[in-house]
Amino acid sequence: MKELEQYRAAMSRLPEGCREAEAQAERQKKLSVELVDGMPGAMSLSEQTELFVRASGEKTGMVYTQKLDEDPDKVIRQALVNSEAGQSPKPEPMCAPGLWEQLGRSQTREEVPVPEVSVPELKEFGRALSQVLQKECAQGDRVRISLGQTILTMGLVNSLGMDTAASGSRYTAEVMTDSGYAGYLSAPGLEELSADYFLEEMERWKRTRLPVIPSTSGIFRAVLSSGVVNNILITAWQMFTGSRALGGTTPFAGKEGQQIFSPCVTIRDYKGGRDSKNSVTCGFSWELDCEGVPSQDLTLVENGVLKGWMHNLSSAWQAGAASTGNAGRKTLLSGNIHTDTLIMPKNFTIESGNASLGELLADCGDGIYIFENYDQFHALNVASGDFAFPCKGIRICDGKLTGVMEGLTMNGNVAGLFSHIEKLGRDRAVNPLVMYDSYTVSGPSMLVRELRISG
Amino acid sequence: MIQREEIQRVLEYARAKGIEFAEVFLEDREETNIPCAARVVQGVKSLRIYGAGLYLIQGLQNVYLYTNQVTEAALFALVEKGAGMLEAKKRAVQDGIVLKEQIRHNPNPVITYPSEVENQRKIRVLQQADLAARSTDVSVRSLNLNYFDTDQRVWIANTEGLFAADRRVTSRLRLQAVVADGEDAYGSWDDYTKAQGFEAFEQEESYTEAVRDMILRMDRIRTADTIRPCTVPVVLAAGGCGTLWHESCGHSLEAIAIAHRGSAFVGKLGEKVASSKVTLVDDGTIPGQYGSAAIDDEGHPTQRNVLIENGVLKSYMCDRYYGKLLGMESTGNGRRQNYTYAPVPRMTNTCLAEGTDEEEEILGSVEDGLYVESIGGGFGGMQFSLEVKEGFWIKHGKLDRQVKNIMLTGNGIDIIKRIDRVGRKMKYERGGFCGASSGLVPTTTPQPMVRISHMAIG
Repeated sequence: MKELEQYRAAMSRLPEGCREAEAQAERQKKLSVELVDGMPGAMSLSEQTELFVRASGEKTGMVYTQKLDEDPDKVIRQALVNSEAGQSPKPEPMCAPGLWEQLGRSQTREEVPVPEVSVPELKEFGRALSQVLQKECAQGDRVRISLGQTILTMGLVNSLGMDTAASGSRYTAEVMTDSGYAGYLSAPGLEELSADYFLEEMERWKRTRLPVIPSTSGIFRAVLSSGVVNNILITAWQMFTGSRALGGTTPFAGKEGQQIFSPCVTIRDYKGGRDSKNSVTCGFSWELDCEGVPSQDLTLVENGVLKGWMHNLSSAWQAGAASTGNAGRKTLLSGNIHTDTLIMPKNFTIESGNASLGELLADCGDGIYIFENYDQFHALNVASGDFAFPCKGIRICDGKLTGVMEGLTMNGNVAGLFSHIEKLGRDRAVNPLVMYDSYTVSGPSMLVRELRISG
Repeated sequence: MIQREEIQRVLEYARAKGIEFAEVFLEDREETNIPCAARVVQGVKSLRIYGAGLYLIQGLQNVYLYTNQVTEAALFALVEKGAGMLEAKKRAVQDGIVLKEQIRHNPNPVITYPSEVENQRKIRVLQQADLAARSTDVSVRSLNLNYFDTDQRVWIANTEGLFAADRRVTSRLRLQAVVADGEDAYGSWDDYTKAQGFEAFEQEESYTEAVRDMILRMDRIRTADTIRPCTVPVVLAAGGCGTLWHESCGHSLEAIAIAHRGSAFVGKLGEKVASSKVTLVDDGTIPGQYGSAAIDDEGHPTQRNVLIENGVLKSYMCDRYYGKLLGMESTGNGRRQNYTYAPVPRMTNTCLAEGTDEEEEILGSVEDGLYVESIGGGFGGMQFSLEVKEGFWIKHGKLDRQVKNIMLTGNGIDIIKRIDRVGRKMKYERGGFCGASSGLVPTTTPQPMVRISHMAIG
């Protein structure tokens, strides 16, 4: 990366007392175009590079800067000064080239250019998509489409010999109508943002627009839509981090090798990209994490049995394990500027089953179909797994959708909910952490034996 | 930072390219972050956020571009790209732009800028807070603390000749903890925020007491009872429970929600939308409040906006662009986290005005119901939800026992009609962050005590 050129040279002349140093750069280029009924509205275009510089003497200090013309030697010196204030008994670990060799992977120093979409191309694609979707909408129901491309380039140089860079590109489409439909799709290519996906989703959404009936409380057999499952996962993934396992702040701590969920549940975190085994390609991919560790496809739960944890270098060292390449910064509660090296998933996934949504509803018999839930950031306590999600549902009688119940809350515990899964759907929507666009979650619709509903 | 004459030339170039309105937003922000995990101070992090945003509006279209290459040449290049995206046509311009500096005083004056304070003093704050958090009888399974200070300087100039600047300084301690007794664990977080410089930490007791209190409260939540879902009167304590207003109708009163027709308040200006007890104000000028500033992020002075008066809808919160879509002027609500976001209408300090009811009478009026002492956060829009962080069951007009795992959900426009008591005493609160399409911005939600006649809880 061009932003790291001066730092590459600075690594060979570290200041006195500085044992190791590292500079990591993240460049994000974004283009987005919004169209309302095919007419362009708000647009944005940006390029921003963030530099994260660490220096270690006895301990480790850090400087974050967006001022790219700052003198690298001065920045490294400041990081070293910052390190002196710390109380850690030892410096933070940094990635060494040997870690790549152990995994049989090779670093790519040169940045591979990524093709960029043009504004006219995006507008044209948006107009065509709008035309198709407008046909499905009632008169006067506006279709708002937001289309975009994000190119993320990450590079890292350090005094241990790391010198690597990788880029990824994804396209996203968000569709909203005045009548209330909201859909999202991401893909590696623009042409993969298919109108068919949105048409199918809109059709499914229309089927939930039933008359409102009085709400009932109780314990129900229930079908959870894929979107509802994703709203749980967007917070629940934190229960699978090595740091929580070490600190005993996840209910699954100490349960490695034990059956924690229904045997039909397999959870993986996929690196994304061409060589990832994820069956759903959403365009979110990472060759390395923010510590420079190569990314990998990781199995966390297999057939309901807890297999392992997501680790960064620090938690891996404490656990006596290897980093799984899950260091990340833009995670939940990571503040305005993301300087902490935390643990973050990439594409956190519950694998799909074979049933169609129709089959799940039919198998449910009498119960409830939860098709919307909200407030994923406050509704789940990851230390205990207890949740209370506000939601909307449809009463199912004899496998048929009857009427909508609003103002509901689904209460329970993640361990209990996922242990009560009887069957998984073959659908699997993908949703990003919207505020930072830094990882995705993805789970299928599911039939659960019992779910407490308050209304 | 780039000079005023250079900004002027950039704006003139935008106008010559045929752009109707152009704005340059410059930001240079310094922050310090010191984490302390498991009693160990992890080292100091120095942060520099530095960049420029260019906002172009052309008819009903707009384009936002940003970069952290803050040079005249880089901004000219952005104008070129933006004009192309808008398909603007060059035009002859007679007069140059004269930037007139508008001086506004920030309602949050600073005594000690964070950059004037040695790191060791900041670390001492963390250490004292850590000691305080561990000084109770509560079993703390994990404790992470973070010290933050922020010194944000912004400069805003536009083709109408505006040139305005603001300097916003805040200080914050974040506590993340898990309290536990065996397998019974409860984890949460809380912020001690101040719209001040380092003077926020000069009185040690103020933050150590706050931290101790956070831990004690978390443990009480852990041991609280659960309740069956029901529909009962709900009393919300004075102070931060005003988040009810932020989530139940504040977001729906932002002009972006109105323009996107995603609000129940569309077309209801001048109509009765809430109980007559309700007067709701958004005010970015209140001294000492986390949501206050001299100007918004479009250079418009912050102001007091009456949104609902005695139940009648009076106004929406507008920025320049969404105000324009609605045929309204900016109300000083154009806000953004930093230069990487285009401004959109956002709340500042959203307050329910004082009413006429006595707090004792409000509580005493409830035979069986829920008293909400604090709210953990929420989700806004036409359907809103709020996490009841600290709740108590009311029995015969008195607090009976603490309860937990409760969400308040509802439809904003219905709930605000059910307000049947509003207390006399306003209580301000520390404030926090609101996240929406222009990022995280500091806000507060103060209120007097209120009663909702009935509400489903679960």
